[in-house]
Amino acid sequence: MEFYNPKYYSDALEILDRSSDSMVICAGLTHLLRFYQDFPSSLEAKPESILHIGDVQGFSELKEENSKFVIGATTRICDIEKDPFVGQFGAAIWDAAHHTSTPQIRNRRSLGGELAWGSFHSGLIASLMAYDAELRIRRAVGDHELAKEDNMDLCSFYQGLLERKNSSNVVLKCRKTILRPRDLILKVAIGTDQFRRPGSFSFFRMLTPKISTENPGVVVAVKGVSQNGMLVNAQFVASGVWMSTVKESIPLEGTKLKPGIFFEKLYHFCDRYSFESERLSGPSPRQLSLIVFGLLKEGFFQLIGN
Amino acid sequence: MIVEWTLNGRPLRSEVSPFRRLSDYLRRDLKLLGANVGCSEGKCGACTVWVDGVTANSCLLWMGQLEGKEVTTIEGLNQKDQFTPLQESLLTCSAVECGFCIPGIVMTGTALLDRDPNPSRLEIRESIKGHLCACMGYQKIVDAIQGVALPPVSEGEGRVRGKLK
Repeated sequence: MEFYNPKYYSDALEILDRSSDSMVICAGLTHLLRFYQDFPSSLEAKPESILHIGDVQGFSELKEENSKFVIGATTRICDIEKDPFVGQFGAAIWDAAHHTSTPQIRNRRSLGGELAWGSFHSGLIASLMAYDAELRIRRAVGDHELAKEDNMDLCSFYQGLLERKNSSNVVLKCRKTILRPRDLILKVAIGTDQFRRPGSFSFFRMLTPKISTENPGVVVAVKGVSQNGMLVNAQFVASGVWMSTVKESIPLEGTKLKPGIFFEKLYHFCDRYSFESERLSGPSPRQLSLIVFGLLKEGFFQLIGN
Repeated sequence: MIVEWTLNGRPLRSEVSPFRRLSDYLRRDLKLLGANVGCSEGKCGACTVWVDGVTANSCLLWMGQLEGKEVTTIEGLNQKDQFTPLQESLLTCSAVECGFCIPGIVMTGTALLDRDPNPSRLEIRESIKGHLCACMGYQKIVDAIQGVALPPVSEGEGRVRGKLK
């Protein structure tokens, strides 16, 4: 089994193009090694080669580019957490990055790996979905054809359910991605107009007690706009222990609510009817989002807020 | 595979499988037993080392990833066979019970104090989130890290190392 550790992007692409479909691409390895204790011998189909792209230069940058905020695929979660632009404008993304696993793992884990693993508990995935993030992917094709680059919505990147079995036969359910062998996530792009629009706000919260380092229970991310104390619109992504994701977007013209108290109310509401007694029961994310939006429209938060 | 890396300040050229975990290589091949292995899946933090100055779980690192990297283990912290101020403070505060988690906590605590000489209690708690202490000695561990933190600089005063009483 070969191990490739290229330093330059062009070298990585060259290796990708001449390798077989059984190549495994990795950057931080924190998901793979955590789940497969004796990777790769624990895998039924052993990879012929492993391409480590964690040290490829210029593949891990955070920058503004053509009215988009771009995050390179091998950007470490800790770098997202430290980025001043994310800190100032993307509260939900910052908070989700900050609550990802442990500090040591955030120092190694890459954004591309987090997206490709597709955990339902990933706060970063929920937050990026709330921001309508787009992915740029390099699609591998057959021999004698040039690879193509595709842009796609993060929501359409996930299609269905994937069951992963670890070496102890424990099954983990994740989102199934559209990635095919040798496909490479290049970067994530978010429209900066969402960040800079007057009155824009975002939140990320864990609604249930954290179950383990990798499982923060139910995560929700909300992005919206409020003007003159009125909530104009909001987008809500909930995901978690129910193994599903819901994205709801509802215009809330006329709902009077201070964004600052929005999540406090949501948190206490969820706490009150909460899932703590039986962590796998409770409303599904879809029901939860409909409840929240219904309550918003009815002015429930305003009533209990004042 | 030949991996050229630096361990505790010494350049090394190691002939090793790229798929060997760093924690195994340190403990079994190099007999550096400071980094303990608890869970092997990045939850307990007992195997924490520094890679290029930032903390990482050595059980989640392959040797192949370390080409050109600078790794520091707990053995590299006290090269003169003396305790570091944080290790002294852990002893002073009676924060060491069974001691299994302590090497990892020393690595994380030292990295935190290097980055921010005066962290708040909350920042200390945040930084040791990746460590499990089965003896539940967290309170004293936080006390010990705070014990080596430099007090805030007031006007006209230099910084002196302070200890929590």
